[in-house]
Amino acid sequence: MTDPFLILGVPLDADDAAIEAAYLAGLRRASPERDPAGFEALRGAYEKIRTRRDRLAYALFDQTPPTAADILAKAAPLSDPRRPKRATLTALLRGEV
Amino acid sequence: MAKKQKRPSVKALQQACSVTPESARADLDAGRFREATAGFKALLKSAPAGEDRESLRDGLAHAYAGRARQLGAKGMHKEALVMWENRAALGALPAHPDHAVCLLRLGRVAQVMPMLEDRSLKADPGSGALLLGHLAAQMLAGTAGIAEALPAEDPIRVQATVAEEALDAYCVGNDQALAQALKAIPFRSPYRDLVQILKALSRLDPAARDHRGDWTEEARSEAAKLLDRIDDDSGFARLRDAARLALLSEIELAPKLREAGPATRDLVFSLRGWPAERAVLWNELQTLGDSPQPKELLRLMFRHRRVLGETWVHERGLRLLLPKPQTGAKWWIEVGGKPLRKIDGYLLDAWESEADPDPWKVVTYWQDYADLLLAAAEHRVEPGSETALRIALVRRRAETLFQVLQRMEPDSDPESLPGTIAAELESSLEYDPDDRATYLGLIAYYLRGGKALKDARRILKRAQERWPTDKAVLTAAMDTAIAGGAFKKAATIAADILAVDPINSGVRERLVEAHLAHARKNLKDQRPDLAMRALALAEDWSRTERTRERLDLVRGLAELLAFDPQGEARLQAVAESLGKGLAARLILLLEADACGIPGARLLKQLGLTKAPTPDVVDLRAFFSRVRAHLDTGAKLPSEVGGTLKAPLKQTARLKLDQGEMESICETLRRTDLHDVRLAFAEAALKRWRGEPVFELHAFEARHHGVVPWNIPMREMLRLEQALERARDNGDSRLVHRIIEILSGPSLPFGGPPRGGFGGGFIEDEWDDEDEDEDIDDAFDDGGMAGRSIALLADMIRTLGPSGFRSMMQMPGPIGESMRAMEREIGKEALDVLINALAADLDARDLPFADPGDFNPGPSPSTRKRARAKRKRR
Repeated sequence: MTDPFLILGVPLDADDAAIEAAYLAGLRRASPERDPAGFEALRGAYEKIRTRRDRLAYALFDQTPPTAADILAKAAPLSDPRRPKRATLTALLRGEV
Repeated sequence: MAKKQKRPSVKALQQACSVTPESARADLDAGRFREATAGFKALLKSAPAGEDRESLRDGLAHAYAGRARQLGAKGMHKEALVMWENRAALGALPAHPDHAVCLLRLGRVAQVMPMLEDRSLKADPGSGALLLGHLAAQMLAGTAGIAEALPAEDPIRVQATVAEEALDAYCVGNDQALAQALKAIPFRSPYRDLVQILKALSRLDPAARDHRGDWTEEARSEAAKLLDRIDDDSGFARLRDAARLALLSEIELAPKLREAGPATRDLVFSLRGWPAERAVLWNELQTLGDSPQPKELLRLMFRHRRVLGETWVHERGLRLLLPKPQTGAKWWIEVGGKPLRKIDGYLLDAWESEADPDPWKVVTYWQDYADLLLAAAEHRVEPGSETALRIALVRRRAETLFQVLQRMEPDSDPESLPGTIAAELESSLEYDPDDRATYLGLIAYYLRGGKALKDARRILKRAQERWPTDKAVLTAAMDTAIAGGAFKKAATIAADILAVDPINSGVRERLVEAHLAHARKNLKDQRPDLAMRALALAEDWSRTERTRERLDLVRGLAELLAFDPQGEARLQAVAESLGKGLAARLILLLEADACGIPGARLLKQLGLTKAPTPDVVDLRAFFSRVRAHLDTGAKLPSEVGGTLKAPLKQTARLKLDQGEMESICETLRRTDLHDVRLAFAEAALKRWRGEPVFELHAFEARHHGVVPWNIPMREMLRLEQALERARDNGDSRLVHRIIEILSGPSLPFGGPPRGGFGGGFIEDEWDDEDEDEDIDDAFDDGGMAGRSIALLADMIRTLGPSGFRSMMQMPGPIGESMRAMEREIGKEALDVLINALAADLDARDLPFADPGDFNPGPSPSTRKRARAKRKRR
């Protein structure tokens, strides 16, 4: 995923406070010690859109094309994990793939 | 109708003839089961009864089993069963658990039950347990007939209820019931693998995910450990494999998911929280392949613009048109986009310009974009508004990318690259007056070189109005005061900064510098008494060894000037501490120069006139000091260079490694010590013959300030050979540098007839056509590759307009190309050009003016802007 708004999970019109809150919330899940790569991604995204100037600069100058992951995240972001249906488990136990 | 008997092919017959027990065994060992089967069958046909036949039958049984497993792994259970049955038909072989598993997969429970009584399976607890595990999994999967076929007290029947409860509890998210049910399943139960899987899956809850939707390392590793306890041939292996897939990160998952079946995907989508729409879109994305074409990705984005958002699709979609927006714009509408707006076209052009290393292009295209924004707002833009901020950012773009002002000094030409970028930055402050960094950058730029102090003060004043107590602005104020010689004011400002930020070593250093500069100024004015006072102030703030050393030096010089005998002793001590070699002489000379004291006289007074013995350690220390001096932005004073030139040349013969020699040549490139650089480059070439980097240094040093047409052809050819070697070595940076020299500030009129400048291998973007009618265009129309007006101007200055015109009568390539030019643009235009250049000459544009300087390229003439605009759609 390359879009910092999607990485932080904030809308395109998010303000400084919303972005900082999303960053801090993300830090709880991706601390530099436990998840260095996750932290880097989070930090990079935050720095790209931290301030109003940053966000405008990102809109004006960033040339990164969207990826399939960006499209997926934008169209249908991940929700909380769900327990699978019993029928799914039954099919797998039956040997289906 | 009777089926026609298929005749064995000639190839098969040949193979049958050539097969041996060893080759069949080798096929079996290598997993080539089809070949092994054919081989063993052929051998069995011709083998006599006996021990050999037993061994061949055993091999065939293994080959059937191997092939059956291969087919089973592909989900081809019916085909696998044929193999198992072939194996069983060989007779007198123990039942294989996988045969039973295969039957179970096909729901043929009745055929499995007798196998449970097979003596060999009963004798092997591992195989028996494996088969029971498969029966248990099939029992949970609802395969009919298992319960009925088993005795009532069989663990598979008895524990099925609690295993069902565990599955149900997990699926509805009742973790308490799940825990109870799992506890009720005994350790040696045929359902034990299910216990591990459900335990692993229950670790994957929302709290175990990071911001990307991936599992935390802790959750992932715990779950993976539990899943690793399940064997590959377990009846629960399919469920385990699906669970393992769900543990992968989103990036790892994508390619694996493509190979997974619907049941596995369902499990993964649920566990990872994929909404149904995401799964549908993912399927659609898969049809575009591993690396979707931008056009197809854009088509998909437009198709889903409602869920993706119109703005997002438009903004991100524009990025898919790069790197060739003109081509991309053609299919934008074809794939479902609305017509691009004018502003989109300008933005795409500006992005495209950034792929070019030419700063002028970037400046020009972003200027156009800013102009369009301004025009769209009818020139009424409120500072700080979104449009204003956009304009400000765009005006700062070239500097952000190229940091021109961080490297160059201001000059008097407002049309120069730094002049233009500085004007852009100043303009940006009209729209975004709150960007402190821009003020500070401009102040630092205007202070560099000391020629634009007024501009620095002007910007500083505006910054101080906004941030009167800001440390960075105060520091800029101190630097401005120092640059203006207002040392007392600088000291006051520094004290203010240190009062609130006592550990600010940068300011402390600058303050010491300010006092030192003051002391030097006093010494220049022959006022050692005042210098001593400034030094006393500096001493109060001095903390580092390096500043103490310099204070000692200046103090020594002040004492010398005041006829204090302590001075000579102090300076002797400093020289002694520095080893009395070249490094010591450099430090003394630099300081003497800064204080207006003749360096040669000082060295004489200290008995240091005799050249020191060349020494590697001293030489390294010397160049370290030179680099430190040059890094401050100062130049090496000519007197210092002149005094040290001779002893330095002698040190060129010292045995240093190649890297050090290269580093020395690079340092000398930043000075005017061309003879010394040449001596080092030549010494290096003696040891590393033909080494391109030293060829380049030798060339530049040898021909510094020499107009290109006076450089012998053999020298040019030698450099071209170095270029080829650098290319062979893959040293792209060096290749670029040599090309710059060969093509760069350029010869007028196309240069010599062959090799050297204008050599066919150097492409020149200036070589294209142009329709402008200004003077500059006369050059373009003449097809003059990579030429510089300044160089032409230099010829005119050297020869005078009439002498220049008389060159046109000269035989040879230069005269010929000038005549060609006259033919093309006409005598009148050429006269206008010559007179214009004769009236406005600038020595800075000489070739090799200062190799250390950034080369800003040609100026943004109307021609270039017009050309840029013509390119626009």
